[in-house]
Amino acid sequence: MKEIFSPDTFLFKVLPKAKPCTGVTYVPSRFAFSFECDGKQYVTSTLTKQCIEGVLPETVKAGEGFDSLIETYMLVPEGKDEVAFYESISSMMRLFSKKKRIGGFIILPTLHCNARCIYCYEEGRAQSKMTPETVEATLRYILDNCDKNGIKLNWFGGEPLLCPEIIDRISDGIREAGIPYRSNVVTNGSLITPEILEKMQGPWHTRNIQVSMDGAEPDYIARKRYYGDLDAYHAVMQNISRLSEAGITVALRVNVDEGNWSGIPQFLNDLKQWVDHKDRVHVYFSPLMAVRAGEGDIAFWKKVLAANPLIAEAGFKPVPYTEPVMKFRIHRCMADSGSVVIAPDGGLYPCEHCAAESCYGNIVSGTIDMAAREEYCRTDRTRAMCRECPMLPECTSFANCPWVDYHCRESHEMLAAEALRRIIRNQQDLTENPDEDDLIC
Amino acid sequence: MKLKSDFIVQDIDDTQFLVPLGHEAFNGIVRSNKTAAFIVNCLKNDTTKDQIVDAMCLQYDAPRETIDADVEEILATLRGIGAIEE
Repeated sequence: MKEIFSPDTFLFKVLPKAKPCTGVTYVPSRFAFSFECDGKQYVTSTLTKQCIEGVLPETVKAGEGFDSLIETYMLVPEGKDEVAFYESISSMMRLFSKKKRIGGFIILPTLHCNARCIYCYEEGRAQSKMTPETVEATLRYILDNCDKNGIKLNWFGGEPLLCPEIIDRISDGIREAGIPYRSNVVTNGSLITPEILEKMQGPWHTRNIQVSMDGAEPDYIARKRYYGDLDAYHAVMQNISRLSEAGITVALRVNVDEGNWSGIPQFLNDLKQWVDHKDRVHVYFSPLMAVRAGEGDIAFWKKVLAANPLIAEAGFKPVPYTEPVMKFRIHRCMADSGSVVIAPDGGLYPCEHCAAESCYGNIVSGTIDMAAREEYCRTDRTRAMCRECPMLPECTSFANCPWVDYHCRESHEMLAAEALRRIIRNQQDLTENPDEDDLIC
Repeated sequence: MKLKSDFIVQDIDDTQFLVPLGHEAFNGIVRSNKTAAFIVNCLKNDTTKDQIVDAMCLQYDAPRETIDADVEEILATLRGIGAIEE
């Protein structure tokens, strides 16, 4: 069988190769995932990332020509508890990558927003803003606990740009302490004035901005429901243009469902007219949570994948839905990577969804229970529904994650297969269309 | 002597690994052979080199001098990566 991608080298530096044993029956690993690309069959291991062209035998013994696949855990002894195997590897890799100090902070200066998005998951939550006391406590907490070699701040909300003075204060405090930092801002993009842009380029050390859009103008107006008479659609388009001109990379998240899908070509056309520096604007369609949690999720994902070429046709960079990860996935999200979310009231959470049951302390009161955070994000308790799933190593590895798609396995498989096809085709392109330099003898 | 609390023992199938927790001096993972795994298990509790050698002599059919030398070598490696508190 032809190997397309080798197993993750770091994983196999650590993990010993399995030894083929006489008399043992080997079967395909539960993490072996088959897919088709341009008429050929492939199998990849979501655990080791090895990918081969061909089909695995249903059963095989050592010495029957498949020993190399036994060594890389593509074929495993019948009855092997592979979930326990995965959980042990995941726990070890996470321990290894765990830092003593915190490298990422997601700060919610406020839950207030100048829009009232119809799909907002924060709807119904108390609209609070950090008090001066909480701002100081946040700064103190960051300085006391951060990785002094450098940190990443993510400004989140609500709409964080409603409180530039809070971002100023915390950024100034970190800079005065001599700690290197960079920041990302997740915003609706409506409040990016020239003054804000200056701060982003200056004291805020902003590298990336994520702006959320809702399709063409009528859909945008109906869904964002801004307070006041703001011509937000065009203001945001102009701000995206301004950001890209200033050299800041913009990730444009276009929230979609059946209701605004037909307006997407118009939206891309408008964006194309407004933005000159298209290479700095990365666009992706993000099905709304209600779509992902509903029965029609797969059908909608298929539409989204099929529409992806429209982004490139409009001159923008499409963002892949699943990164072509060729390494063992140690972390899937901010919660399991050790980042800290600080809410406007000083509450600490493992992720930006701020589920009440995940709160593990408050920086103002000083009651912080790190053990509760560890317990919430434990990796060794795979959900019962995930134990049979070949996509487990690609998905969340802790059972308390509140996010579950309706057809999660199918959607994961579809997106993973799409990512793998992209890599295989790119490899073929590289082989079939070598650069001119490669032709020089 | 004892294994430092910031070195975590993790078993995967039949193999034992020693993982440093955000350790500044050592940035790697130790995969133990059977002898090293035995010694690391002894070091989970406060012990001495002689106690480890005694325990190994009960477990393995080898001359005490050979075991003593093996234990010395593995302890030196573990000390070298800062995994032991004396």
